[in-house]
Amino acid sequence: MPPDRRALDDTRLRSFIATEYRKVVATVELVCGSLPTAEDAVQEAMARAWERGERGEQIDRLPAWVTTVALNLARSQMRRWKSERRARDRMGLPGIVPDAPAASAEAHAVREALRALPRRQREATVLRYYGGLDVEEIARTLGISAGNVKAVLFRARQTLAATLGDDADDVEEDEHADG
Amino acid sequence: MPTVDERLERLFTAAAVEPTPENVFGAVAQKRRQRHTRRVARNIGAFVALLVVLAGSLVWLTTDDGTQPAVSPATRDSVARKLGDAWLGARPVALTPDVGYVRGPLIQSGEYVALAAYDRDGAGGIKVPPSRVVRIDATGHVVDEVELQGEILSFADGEGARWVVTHDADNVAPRQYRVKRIGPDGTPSSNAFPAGNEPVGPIVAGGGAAWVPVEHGILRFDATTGAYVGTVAAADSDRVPHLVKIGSDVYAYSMIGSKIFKLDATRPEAPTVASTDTALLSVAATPHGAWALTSLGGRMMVAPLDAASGAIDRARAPHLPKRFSASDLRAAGDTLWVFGRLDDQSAIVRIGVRADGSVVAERPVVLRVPANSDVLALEAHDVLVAADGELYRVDIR
Repeated sequence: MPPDRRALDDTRLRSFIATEYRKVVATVELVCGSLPTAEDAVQEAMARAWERGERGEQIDRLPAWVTTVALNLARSQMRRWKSERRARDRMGLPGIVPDAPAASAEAHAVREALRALPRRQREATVLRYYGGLDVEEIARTLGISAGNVKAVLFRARQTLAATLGDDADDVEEDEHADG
Repeated sequence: MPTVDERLERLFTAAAVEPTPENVFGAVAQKRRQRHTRRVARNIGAFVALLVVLAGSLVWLTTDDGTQPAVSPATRDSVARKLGDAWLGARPVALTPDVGYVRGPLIQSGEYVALAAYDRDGAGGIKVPPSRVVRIDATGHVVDEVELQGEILSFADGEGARWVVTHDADNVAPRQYRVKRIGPDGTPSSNAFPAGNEPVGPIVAGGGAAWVPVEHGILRFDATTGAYVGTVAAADSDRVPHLVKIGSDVYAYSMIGSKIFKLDATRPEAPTVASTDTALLSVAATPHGAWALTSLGGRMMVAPLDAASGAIDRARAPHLPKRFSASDLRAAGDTLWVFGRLDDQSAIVRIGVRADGSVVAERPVVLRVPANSDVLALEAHDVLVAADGELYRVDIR
């Protein structure tokens, strides 16, 4: 699909909310593990996109742009939470735990497996298997090379296959099949 | 037999949440407004700082008696203005008597300047309650002060009284906002906002009432008692309403929208909404009429606005300096002040409006003010900045 080069206005924003918003929020939520944080980050990213539109700047691929910005914002928020948690631990105060949505046992296992992945692997994996992005799109979104994306995905799939009860041999076969 | 990729896709899809896109547009619009407000505050702060530094430096160069520095040193976080490649620190304004921690909002109140003041908490912050509305003269002498209880958000003069919007000192959500009407004898009366409303801009008094913009409308408060009377719907439900006083009338316009209408407490019928042919970013009024900050062909401009018809007179629009990106417009007497950025630094442009309606835009002045500062540009070449509990003056000549 060719990029939508229209300036962002009310109509395009409402269209984005109707068609893309759920998917982008769910993607960010899978990465950061908090629905309020994901919603806040995506809405903040949309506000920034809107401002750019008002300045006459064009955003070629709005969903990808919003996803990238929202992931950055969510990452910052999670860093702040970690710092706050460490400080509260030092002071012996009860911790603040990001709320997690109710989930089935299988979904819980997937979320736990994702949480155990290094950040880059978690982001690439979610963009690939939930967001449906190809390697080039993931590379653009995360600001890394395509080769790096392939390596990150390969390691993540190995870990996930083991964690979620799959056979690592299948992963290697799939990886070779990807080229 | 599904591949690992297919299995992961299925598992991730099953694990994903289903967010509810309820009022997302409103939430995004509010974030955009908050970003705009923060940007304007940053710009204003930087602008004021720059003005203060310049003024202080000039005074020091011309009148210093050698006994003490007349200008604060321009540290990295201080109020300052840029002059050439140098940053010049601002001149502190000593208030007599001391009123404690000085903070915005700052407004011109007749011949005086009104500001908010609080008790200091001993750790660089404030203690609330009490709060105080303080009026000072040009020398920093305190003319009067009125003690209130909540944190002060905005001031206005008009309809025979002074008006203050506060929120209660406790931080229990949702916050309770109030309008305080200060009568001619200095006695305040407190009137609560209707539940669920929070201000999105300063209070304005005129047109037979006091008005406060909220997310989707304008709250009306009785001019005599200060009591809440009703809510006027915004002309565009998707836009945040802003208010501007033009003469003795008050107009509401939708920010970054193209609708403007007069608020009139004496007329029960729905107001007549005028449309402009381009989006209004900000509107301000001198004694000779209203001006709009708008854009044409991607270029920002300040042009006379007929608020009743929505007509914008581009032929009389002064040229704004190149590379200056405007974001807000204010008026002080016959002077218009445009706040914005120049080469990614906060800057202001002073526009003098002559009696014959001709206008002259001066060169932009780059300012630096700390975060959470408040800036009041005066009619001449002075800018006041409330920053870190103190008041500063910047001369931008």
